[in-house]
Amino acid sequence: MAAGLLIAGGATLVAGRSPDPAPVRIAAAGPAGQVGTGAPPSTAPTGTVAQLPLSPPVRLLIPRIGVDAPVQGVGLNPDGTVEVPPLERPEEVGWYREGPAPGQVGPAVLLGHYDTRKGPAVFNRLPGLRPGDRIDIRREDGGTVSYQVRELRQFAKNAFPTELVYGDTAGPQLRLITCGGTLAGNGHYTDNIIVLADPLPPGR
Amino acid sequence: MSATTSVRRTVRFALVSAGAAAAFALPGAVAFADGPAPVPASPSARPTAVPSVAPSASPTRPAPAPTEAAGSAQVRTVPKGGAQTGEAEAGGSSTVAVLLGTGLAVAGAAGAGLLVVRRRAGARS
Repeated sequence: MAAGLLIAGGATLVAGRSPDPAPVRIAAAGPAGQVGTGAPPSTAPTGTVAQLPLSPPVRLLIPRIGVDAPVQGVGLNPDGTVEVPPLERPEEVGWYREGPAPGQVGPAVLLGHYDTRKGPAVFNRLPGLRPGDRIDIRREDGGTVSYQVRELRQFAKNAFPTELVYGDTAGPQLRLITCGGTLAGNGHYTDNIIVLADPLPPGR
Repeated sequence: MSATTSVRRTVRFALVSAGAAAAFALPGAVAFADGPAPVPASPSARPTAVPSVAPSASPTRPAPAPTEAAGSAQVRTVPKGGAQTGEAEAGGSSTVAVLLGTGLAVAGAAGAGLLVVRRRAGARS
């Protein structure tokens, strides 16, 4: 009996030991995309796309990875870092409202969790996006803005490419951000995965 | 005394008077130009011109640059660093398994110890 308990306990301990999760990496980089830092940012196409008036995004759709999620505005944390959607709502996407809205000239930035303690979150399959994939964003005014993935990039958080993500652009641009890399001791991932997308002409 | 002579005397007297007046006036004028005393007139004009222009010009000139830069940026406030968009899943279930396993192992060890004690006690008696 006692020996049975000992064996059962040992077996449970072995089974319960969660293996280190595999590093989260982007599946396919774009023309200039690559993991790491120091790579020069690729340039957005210079085609003319009409700018839309300000209207906050309300929903994000990425058909190829099954994303159909609500969007809420987020701002800054007291320490100056960007807010993310609350962990209690892992299906939600955050739009950085101190920047342009999708459809306006400039980098519209949307953020979503890769996962939470409860399981996969809204951007869990984001690293699997490929150049050319379509992204639709519904706006509060009822309109829809469509983008096309140009490339995926992955950077260590301590080498985050601020200018690439938040710098001025010649036309409307979209950036999707989630986590990647390996799990650090602080419970957070080491990297950020960034999807750069260009606007599609209306009607496409 | 002719009229001409009278005119000459008058002119000479006028010239002497003017010279005397100039002699009295000149020291004051010279002192006015380079002495430390000229507090009333020139100080009020000169010092106020210099400080009032310099300080007001230097702060107002650079001010528009940052304001314009901030206003023209597409992202009004740029966040610091990356985004904490993940915290890894499945922490809960493995923690439960570890606790359960530890409990079973402790119970097993206690049971084994109890058995040994009983056997020893039985062997003695």
